[in-house]
Amino acid sequence: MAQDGFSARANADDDCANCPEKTENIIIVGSEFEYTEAGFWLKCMFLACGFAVAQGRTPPPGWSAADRTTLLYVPLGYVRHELLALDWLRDNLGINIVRCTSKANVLSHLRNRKVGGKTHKIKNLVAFCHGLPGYFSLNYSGPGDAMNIYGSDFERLPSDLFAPNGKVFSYACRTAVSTIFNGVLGQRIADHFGVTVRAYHRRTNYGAVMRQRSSSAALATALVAARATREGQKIALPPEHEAFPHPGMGNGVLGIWGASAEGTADYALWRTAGAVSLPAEGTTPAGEPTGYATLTPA
Amino acid sequence: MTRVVPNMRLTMAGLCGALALAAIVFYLTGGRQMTPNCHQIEPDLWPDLRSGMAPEPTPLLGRRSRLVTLHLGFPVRLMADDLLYITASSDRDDVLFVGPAPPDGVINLAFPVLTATGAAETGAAEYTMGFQLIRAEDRIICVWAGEERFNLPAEPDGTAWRVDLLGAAVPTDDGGQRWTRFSPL
Repeated sequence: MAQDGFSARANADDDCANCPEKTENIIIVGSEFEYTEAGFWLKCMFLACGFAVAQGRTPPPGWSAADRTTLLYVPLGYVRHELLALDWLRDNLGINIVRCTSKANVLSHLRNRKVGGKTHKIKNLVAFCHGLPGYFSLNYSGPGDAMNIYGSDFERLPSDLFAPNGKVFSYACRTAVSTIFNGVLGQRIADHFGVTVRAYHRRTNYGAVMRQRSSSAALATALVAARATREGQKIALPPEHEAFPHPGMGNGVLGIWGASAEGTADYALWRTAGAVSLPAEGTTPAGEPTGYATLTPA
Repeated sequence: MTRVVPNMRLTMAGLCGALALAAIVFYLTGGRQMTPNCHQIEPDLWPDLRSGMAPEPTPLLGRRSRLVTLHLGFPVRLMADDLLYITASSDRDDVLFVGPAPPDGVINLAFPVLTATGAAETGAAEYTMGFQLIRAEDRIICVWAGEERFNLPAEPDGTAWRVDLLGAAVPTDDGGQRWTRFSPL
């Protein structure tokens, strides 16, 4: 007679019926084209957040380690220097790095839970990307497919992809907001997968993830000084930052104001360890509730 | 006062000269002096990016639609081979137009009527629009797609709009930013 769990007749090499399933943490890193003038300061904001979380720095509240970690990233808008951080994660920490140029790539990874023949349930999923009420926008303002992922896209995935007590952390703007046509993205995810979702009603503020704001002037001054002799090269900004050449960044219409005047045009800021901190709640729209909302299955 | 007037004339002449020079440079560069929302794509990404864009508008598949005329104003000079790609996001993403950018900027689009509360009856809807100008020869795509909210009023209103595609983003009332301005005609 078949028995649940361990059996005295079981072969030592048999899979045990009640072993906890393997788990996977998933980090989504969107592309960034929105901040054309403040590009130096913000270009790598999503990447730096994903890089920090993948290393176990700045974990979202309640995040815990899994058997495997995968970072899904949208390559558009980043240059090779910036993406080298992902190579480092792969080579040094064994992080699974997946390049996504369509939303089908993202949804396919979420759907396919088998790794080496073993099912890996999703333990935690965190999204560092743009968002609008009702959907994630992984290539927002970017060329090509906007890679918008709606509640209906998640609902077309099997509902058992997550481990018990699975969690989703959205650091996209406004994904706890209710919409006429799309409902609440976070709630739809919570309901479909039976997970807890954390999300903002207001826009998300990434302004301080790359550096303490008080250090901005010193970083810009150091960059300008270094560019006098090392223009076009990667520039170290001790003690913890670097500037990567990124042609076209912050040039403005004619290249005569904004980042050009500041001396940061054509470069993007990187922090060696990744983000200083997780993104914070923004201030707009003022009429929306405050706080990092917790959405549980209805 | 008699000294000021010649100085003003000189200043005006200088400004006019600068503007004329800028116009000549713009003309001679064939409109390649693009705006900040124009991106040159790396050669290795170009095939993936283009294959991710639908080759034709999303089929309506029986959904009711509304015909709306847009009069587009571009901040860049159009080239003969420029392609235009227009999307509308609502409860899904719909590609409304794929084809040569019309030289006069006038384009007729079939907006799918949404089926949620009340919309099916009135035709009123809110979309987030996206406009992309594709210059394949240079692997350049200009994107006007931020918080491009477009509120289509109940029928029979809202059948024609002027749409200014802007050279720089402008703030929205609620703290965001957008790249287009819609005005009913």
